[in-house]
This record gives sequence, C-alpha cells and structure tokens, in this order.
Amino acid sequence: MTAVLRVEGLGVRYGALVALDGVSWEVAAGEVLGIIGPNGAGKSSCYDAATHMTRRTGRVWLDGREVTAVPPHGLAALGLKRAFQQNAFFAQLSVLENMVAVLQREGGAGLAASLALPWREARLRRALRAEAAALLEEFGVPREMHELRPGHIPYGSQRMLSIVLAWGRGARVLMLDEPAAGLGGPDMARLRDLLQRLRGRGTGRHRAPHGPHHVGGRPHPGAGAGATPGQRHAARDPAGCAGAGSLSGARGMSAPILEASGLRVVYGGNLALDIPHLALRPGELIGVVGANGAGKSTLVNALLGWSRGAPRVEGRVRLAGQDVSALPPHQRVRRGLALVPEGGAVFMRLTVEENLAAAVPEGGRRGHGLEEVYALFPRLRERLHHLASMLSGGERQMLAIARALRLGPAVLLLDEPSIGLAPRLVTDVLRSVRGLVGPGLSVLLVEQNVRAAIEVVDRLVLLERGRILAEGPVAAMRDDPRILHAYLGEAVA
Amino acid sequence: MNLVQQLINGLIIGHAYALIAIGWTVLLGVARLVNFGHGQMYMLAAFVTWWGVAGLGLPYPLAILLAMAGGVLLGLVMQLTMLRLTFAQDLVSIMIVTLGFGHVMRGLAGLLFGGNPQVLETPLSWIDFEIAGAWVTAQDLLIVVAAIAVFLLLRLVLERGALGRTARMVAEDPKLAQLGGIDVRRVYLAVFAFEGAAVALAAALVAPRTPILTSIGFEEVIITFVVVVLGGIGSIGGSYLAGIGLGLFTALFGGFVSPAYATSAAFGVLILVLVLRPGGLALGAKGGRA
Repeated sequence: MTAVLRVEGLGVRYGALVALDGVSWEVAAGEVLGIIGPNGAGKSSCYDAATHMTRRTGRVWLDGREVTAVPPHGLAALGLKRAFQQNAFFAQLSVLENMVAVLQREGGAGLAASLALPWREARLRRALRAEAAALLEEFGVPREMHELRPGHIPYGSQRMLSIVLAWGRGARVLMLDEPAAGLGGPDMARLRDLLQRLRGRGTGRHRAPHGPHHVGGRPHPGAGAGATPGQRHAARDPAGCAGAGSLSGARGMSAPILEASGLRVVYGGNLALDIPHLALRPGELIGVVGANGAGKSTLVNALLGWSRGAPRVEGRVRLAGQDVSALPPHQRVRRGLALVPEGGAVFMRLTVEENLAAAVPEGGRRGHGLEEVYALFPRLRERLHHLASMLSGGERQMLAIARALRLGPAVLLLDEPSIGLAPRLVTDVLRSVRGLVGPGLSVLLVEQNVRAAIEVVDRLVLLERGRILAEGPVAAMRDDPRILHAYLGEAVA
Repeated sequence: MNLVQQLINGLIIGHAYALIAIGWTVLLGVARLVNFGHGQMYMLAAFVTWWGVAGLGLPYPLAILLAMAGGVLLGLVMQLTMLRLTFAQDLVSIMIVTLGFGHVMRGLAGLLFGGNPQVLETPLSWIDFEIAGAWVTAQDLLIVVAAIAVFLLLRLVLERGALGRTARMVAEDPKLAQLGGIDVRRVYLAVFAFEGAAVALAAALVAPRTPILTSIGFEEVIITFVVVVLGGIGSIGGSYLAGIGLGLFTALFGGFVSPAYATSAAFGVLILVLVLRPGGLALGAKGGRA
C-alpha cells in the first residue's frame, strides 16, 4: 500500500517550548492510524503541523505530491480534512447552515454565477440544504437539531457535527482530534460505527485518542480505572463497612448544603430541565449521569444561575440554607458555590500563574493555597509561566479545576472534568476530587464516564430528557438496569 | 518651514491625540466596547470646562474636575442604558446607540451653551517658552506631562496587579469571569466612567488650543479611531506611540505638504498599516492570539 499522507521530521516550537520534534509517520489508503500519548504529549500540535495550522519545520506529502508549502485551506481542498478537539463552528449559524456553508465551500455555484442566475441559485440552495440535512442525519445529528445553533445542541451531537463538518462531501485523509472526548457509551458506539462506515469508503483516516482502546474499535468508557478504585469504593460504600456507615449516618441528619426545588429551565420555548427536588448534603459527592442532551450541564449551570445562552430559569436554589435564587452568578460564587464549566474553561490570554492568582476567595472563606494546588496537579507548576492557550486540553482542565478550588467553595459543581483527559488521568482526577470531598466540600459531578464516576461517587442521579429518571446510593444504582442499559450500553462487560 | 518647530509641534499634537484616545483604548482593551459618542463627549466636556471658568468663575483646576465629574456621570448613564447590549457583546447595536448618544449630546450642548464659538482661556496659555526656536505655551507642556502621566499610570495599573488582571479576564471572557466571582456589571460601569473622565480631562486640557463649537468632536472621534486601531486595539503602549506618531505625521505633512489633506493622509497611513500589519503597530502586544 502506498502512503496517502506522509509527514517527515515535523517540528513545532512555541517560544522556548518544544512541542514537537522530528516526528515522522505515514498513513495508507483505508488505514486507520491512531496517534496516542498522555496529555501534553503533542498530539494536537502534530495535527497542527501536518495541516499547516502553525509555523513548523518538516515536510508533508499528500498522494505522493509534496504539499509542505500549501496553506491549510489548500490542503483541505486537496482532501486533508481535520476536525478539532474543541468544537469549532460558526456559532451564529444554525447547524444546517454550518453544513451548507461547508458544502458550498467544496464547490457549489460561484458568487458571480449566483448573481447572474438568481433562480438557479435558489434551486441550488434547496438542493444544498437537502444534501446537508441528509449528511447530518447520516452522521448522527438528528433533524430536530438542524435549526438550532450548534452551541445549543448536546455535546455528543456537537462532536458528531464537528466530524461531519470536517468530512463534508468526503476526504482523502480525515484527521480527528479526540473524537470520543466526552462521549458516553451509546454515542461512543455510534461514533465507532460511523468511523467504520467511513473507512469502507476508502479513506485513510487518523485519530488522536488517548488510549489504545479506540484503535481496536472497542468502546471502553472507563478504561484504566483498574481495581484499586473499586476497592476504595468498597470501603466507602454506605451499605458496606462501619467506618463509612457513621459518615453516611451523619450525612442523613445534616441539612442539605445545596438544595434545588422546582428547578425548571426553558430554552427557546423548550423545557430543557424539570427537577422537582435535588439535595446535596455536606461531605457528599453526587454523580449526575445521563446521555448527551439529558440536561446535565443545564442542571449545574442553572444551580449557579449561569449560562452561555439566555435560558429562562425558574425555581428555588438554597445554599447552606439561604435562598440564592435571586442572586447573580458571581454572588453565588462568593457565597461558596463554584462551577467548572464544560470544556476546561480558562483564560487563554493569561498565564497559568495569573489564572491561578486571579481566583481569590472572598467573604472570609479559605481557598486552596497554591502549594495545595500544585500538589494536586504537579503539571501546573511546570507550566506556571505559559499562557493557558499553550496548554494541552487536559492541562487546561486541570487548571480550570484548580481555579475553582482556589475560590474555596463549599460546593463544587464539576461539569465533565474528564473531557480531554487520558484514561489514567481521568481516574487520577476523579480520585483527587474524591479526596477533596469532606465536611467542608461537597461536589456535584457531571460525568459521561459513568464507569469511572461510579467508583468515586456516593449517590447517582440519572437524568433523561431534563428529568430525574432514577436517584439513589451508588451501591443500589450501580446495578440498576436503567443505568446499564440507558447509559453504559454494550461497554459493560 | 522649520523642521524642529514642526517636530515639537507634532510631539505636542501627538500627546494631545494620545490623551484624547486613552478612554477609548481602555474601553476596547478591557470591555471590547466602542463609543462613537466619544467626540461629542469631548465637545460637551470642553463646554463644561469653559462654562466653569467663564460662567461660574471657577479656577481652571476646579473647572477640570467639574468636567471630569460630568464625564463620569455621562459615562455611567450611557453604560447603564447599554448594559444588556454589552453583555451580549452586540457591537453593531452599541455603535449605533453611542452614535445616537453623540447626536443627543450635540443637541444638548446647543441648547445649554448656544451656537457661538467660545474660547477657553487658561492662565497657562499666556506663559510662553522658547524651545529650540519654537514657541511653546505652558498649556502645551501640561498636555504632554498629563498624557505621559496618565499613560504611565494606566500601564502600571492595567498591566500589573490585580485590577489589570481582572480587566483582562473580563475582556477575554466575561461569562467565565463571573465564575471567578467577578461582578462584570461593575467592571463595565467602571470602564465607562473612566472613559467619561478621561475624555473630559483631555477636553479640558486640549480644548484651549482651539475655539469650542458644538460641531467639534467629529475630528476627535476620527483621530481617536485611527490612534486606537494603529496602536493595536486596546494596547496601552501602542496607543501612546500611535498618538505621537500620528501627531508627528500630521505636523510634518501639514508643514511640508498641505494642512488641508493631513487628516486624509492620516487615513491613508491607517489603511496602509492595516494591510501590512493587521494587528496594528503594537509590538509584542499583551497576550498571545489563541
């Protein structure tokens, strides 16, 4: 087999930081090449270099022709297509319009032709929209989402969207950067089927997953969890041993630190969330699980009264007995409610050090000191003077969590901290989170990776279409067929 | 034409430009906002200073403070009306709203201060120095000193320290800044209050150089726009250098080619620079582009 894409001696530097040094590989037609490595290993940089998105050294051949000097859009026109780790869409265009834009770029009528023959343009547009809709559906973005803005569809569907946008009408080489990040069992299976279908169309393809499990095509959400956390769990299981029993007894008595009642969120006329009652007790770690679009992020955002969009939020939220429903987000933060939003939200133009220094607790609460943060995430100390934009996806996630801890929260809302983290790190981070939970800190953890979450949480809340489908101690819930079926899918051994 | 004289003149005009532009620089750098009523705020503040001196008989320094207080008030009123637009970062609507504010201010100035040109006389205008064959007033020197002082202060505050960090966080992602416990609303209000005070200070210092009319302001907003864009949107040091550069250019072009086309030529330079260096002139501006 001859190589479709060959790179030789790729190197990338960001200032003094060498991100990539002398990397060579090739991928043949119909071949799937997995590029793996821990966080910060240079996986995304490798893609940036190959697609000429950054200044780099080295050479690139596509279909036997040297394309080292071809700019990114030229490479895309030649069939080297790339989907990003962070979803990249036109946020102001609907899902369908995003797709139409891609198809148009790949060759529809030129502007001049459209102006000369407007009726032809109208017909062409209809055809393009039909083609776009069909493609979206084929890639698992259902029709009811087509008119929504990309930011308003569930995360899993966003991932699918970013893949189909990269694919367009087809690709010689499709480069996917952690396509499975943040996907749950069923979505993972969908993704795998999709990729296998694409492979059937004779495309060299290319992914940068964290773990080797993706390469073999086995979806395995809790990879790397190992036996240790399970043993830890057994010791903590409320139904299990006496030590934990006393803890859970104390928990049963104490008043909730965070309590929501009649919480409803309406997004553009649709009821996205309807939670009659939810309580988090001091020292408790609750896991919120559910398929993509179940309303997990909506829930944690609504608890803080925060959102990137403009939803209508109704209902009461009480923090340590006080009604905070009327307070703006920053006031709730100052009272001890901290949120790490989806996708490792950090300030890209600030250094790691500034990001950490900027998060200072107020109102007399004591946050994590810098040393405590470094002990938790040693990686951050090494990157102290780098801009956050130069961190890898996983490092950003660590920084985002560290920022929240610095605020000294009584309740920490964590929205999918495992997105973008290597399987080993997922376990590490979730265990660190478990270690933080105590009388002074309770955590509400939204997690796609149910396998890993089950190992650390006290209670599970299963959401479906904005409602609580099931709720209970993890010991009872872990064998609940609804969790197994609705969520873990075939990934459960 | 004496080159040294033009250079000194250019330096003074340049510092005046930089001083006039500082409010907008902060507005853009911190809040990603624009204010096309900037020029009319300048005009109104110039009238208030004149009224303070000529009408109320206040000493010049007090009249400056009066104008700055008025500027703060005006800035707060404008930002309070636009808070929702600001949160949505709806720049087009903000542009139109601020243009509208500008027109209202112009009408208001006509009602309050009449249509006659006024001259703001300050004690410093009467003190002359001769520097290298060029005549310079103490007022001119005050403009230069004030501009340098304001820029140094801003650099100190905005590029170091907690306040500057907060400002950069709000500029990058206001929603995320909320999660850090920052009251973004207050930051926006403070920034617009600063814009009002800064432009009022600039007006009180620079306006004595020219007659004050309700129709002035347009040139100031255009000059500000050029300075801010050349300086590399929102960069403090960049704006200062761009102001000086533009002042020198205007003086030299006016002195050796034609004063009538100086502003047009300035725009020519702007277009040229933007084509060659889309990020503006600021070298190594703060922060990498993600």
